[in-house]
Amino acid sequence: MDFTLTEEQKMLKTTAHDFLVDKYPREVLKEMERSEMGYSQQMWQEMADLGWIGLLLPEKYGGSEMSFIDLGVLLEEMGYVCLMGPFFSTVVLGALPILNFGSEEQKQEYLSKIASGKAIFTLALVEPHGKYDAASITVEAIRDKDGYVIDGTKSFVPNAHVADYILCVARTSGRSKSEDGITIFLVNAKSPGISCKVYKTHSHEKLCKVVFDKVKVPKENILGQLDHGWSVVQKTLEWAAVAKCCEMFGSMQEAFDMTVVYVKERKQFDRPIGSFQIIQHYIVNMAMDVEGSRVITYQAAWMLSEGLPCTKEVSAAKAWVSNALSRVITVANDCHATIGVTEDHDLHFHTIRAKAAEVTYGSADYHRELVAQEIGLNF
Amino acid sequence: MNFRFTKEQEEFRQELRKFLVEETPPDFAKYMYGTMDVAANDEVSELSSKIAPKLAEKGWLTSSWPKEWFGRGASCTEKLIMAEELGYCGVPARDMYSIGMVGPMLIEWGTEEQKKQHLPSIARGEVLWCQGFSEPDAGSDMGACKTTAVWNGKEYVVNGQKTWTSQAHRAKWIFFLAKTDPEAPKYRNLTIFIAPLDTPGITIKPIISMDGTHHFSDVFFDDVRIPKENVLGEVNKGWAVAMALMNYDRTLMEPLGQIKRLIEVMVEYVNRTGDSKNQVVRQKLAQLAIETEVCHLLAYKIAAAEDAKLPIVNEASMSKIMNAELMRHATGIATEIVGLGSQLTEDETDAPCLGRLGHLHFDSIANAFGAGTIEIQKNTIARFGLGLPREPRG
Repeated sequence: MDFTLTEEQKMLKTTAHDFLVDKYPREVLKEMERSEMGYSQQMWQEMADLGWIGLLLPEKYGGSEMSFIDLGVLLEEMGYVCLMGPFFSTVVLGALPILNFGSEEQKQEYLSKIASGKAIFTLALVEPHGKYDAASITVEAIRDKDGYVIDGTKSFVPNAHVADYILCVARTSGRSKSEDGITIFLVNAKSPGISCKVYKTHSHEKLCKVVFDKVKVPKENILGQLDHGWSVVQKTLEWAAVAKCCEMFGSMQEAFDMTVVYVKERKQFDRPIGSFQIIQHYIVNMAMDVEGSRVITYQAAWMLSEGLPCTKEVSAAKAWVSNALSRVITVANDCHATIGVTEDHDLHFHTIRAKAAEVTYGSADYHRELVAQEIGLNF
Repeated sequence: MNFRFTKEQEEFRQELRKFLVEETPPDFAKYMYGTMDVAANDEVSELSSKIAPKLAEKGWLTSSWPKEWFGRGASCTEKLIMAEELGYCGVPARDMYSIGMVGPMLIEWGTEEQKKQHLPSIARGEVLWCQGFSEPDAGSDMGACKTTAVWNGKEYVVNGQKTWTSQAHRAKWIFFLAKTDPEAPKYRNLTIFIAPLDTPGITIKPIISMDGTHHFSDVFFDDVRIPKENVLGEVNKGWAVAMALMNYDRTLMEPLGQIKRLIEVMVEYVNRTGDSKNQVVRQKLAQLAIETEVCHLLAYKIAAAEDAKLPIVNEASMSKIMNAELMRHATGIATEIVGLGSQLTEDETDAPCLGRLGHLHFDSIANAFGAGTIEIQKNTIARFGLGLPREPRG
């Protein structure tokens, strides 16, 4: 077994860290939080030029053919600085499904655009109730003469307001609530009938309500097979859950690092608060949560990059990291006390994002149930 | 990055597992015996003492020892796989003290005579040892050792008391710390000695645990004469050896194997009773599986780093803490799910899960304290691993 990054991965990590610390200081983050788009097109293009957006894509589409671990390294650094924007949705929710399940024509059509930063993607899966299961899919796509007509409302769609394409998960046949009869459509975001509202969220993440009002989609825009889209959704959720873990792990690390610095500097009762045993034990607990998150996330990322079946490992990672992040943020706040809850203190950037991350792509409970099934618990 | 074991490692695991299953009665693994049961349970003690020499014959028992001394320099990963499998199959046949500590200690610090005298019998799995470190007034503060060893010109005369001595009543030899220099400052006045437990003046008194079993003992030294040949390492330099020992073989890998088996036992149990439909039960058992996965990965990360000669700073202490907490958590969940049935002891044929759950839970309480309590481990990580400022004394 080998738990280390390769030299190339270490270099990618350092480059990413330096780039992001330089280009995304807290002033920029605050500006992005307040902005309508949530990201800077200039920085987006710079990331494309660095090869980040096409990281996983084949060279013939302008990508660098790197692995899910390499993506994980990038996401970790992005989580460290709380990077906002459509990188995650474009790469994980758009590029990966198209690369793995798209037709040759679809790959030709979309992947080069993605790699060059010319197309932003997202996935419209969850509906207003906010759950990730097939039973919650009620948006319908009815066959008409040229293709399909999508009707219904999707919610919590990341960056739909700036997306060029939306992967929309709709019911095309079969019983309601079933996993059969679900289809993924590649929808041009400018299609007539699509309206988008950006929610105000606590994490400042640009999550949108997207109404599909009789939106026409050609049948060539089905991703994968008609009625058999749910397995693609499940795979995409696996990528997304682990990618989210990588981001969360990065966030956890900055929260941890800043707490260690703080308790060494902050003095009360004539001594650094880090010299009190209880604070020391809190910090050690945080360190264990960070270390546990590291190993469980990297295992899942490695298995995904090797193409190994890993439903249990993916869910183990998302469940563990969700709870670990919550504990780390709680303890970080305990150590900082009231200063940490202010807008002026950097810790709050992580605190406001942590709860969102915990429940995105499945909460700990949701993933524990998947693990329960994987370890053989009968219904 | 690579989360797979090598083909050889997988083959070793399977071969060892097959051997252990063949050497034990059917379904023996469901008893989930561990090292603490060697001390506490006569049948387990006897079975382990029969299997240990066979493991030695297979070349497995001391495979991680150097080639010059009954080993083949096997990797740390392989050592962990063995410990895990012994735990998973419930066969505690690799004595932690003799194989895990005394052997390596003699190889590193022993004289040629000591090596020749002891290593063969240890390597053949023929002898159990025990560790005399804790005293009534020297637990976490191990350096506050009061047992004295006075040189009288001819030999050392030892007086004192060691306590919480695991498996003393099964062991043949003891290694212990004693104060050899009354003038020297704390930590620089200690020497490690070895002695046969039948030396005149040594008395073993049982300490009965809360579940009625005999695991720990008090070991009294009344004018016990120890030849200088039985000093291990240098006089007054025993503390460094004791500290090094704290890092040997104490990753609690065997309990990790036991917990993996416990989860299987629980899945089978709740599937049979229909409790597997209960959401709370599902969540709890899934959580145990997840925590076990994290502990498994961290333990093998440490092994991989040691094998690659990469530095390990905090991970070993973290692993001990997490494994100890997992064992408490897992046995607590198991007894909670089974409910009143987990109150029945092993003597009751009606007892669910062979009556082992309550006992495992008690073991998990004690297990957390060996080789440094969780609190001490955390202090160590905080001070030396994370550089947090020292707490003022007094």
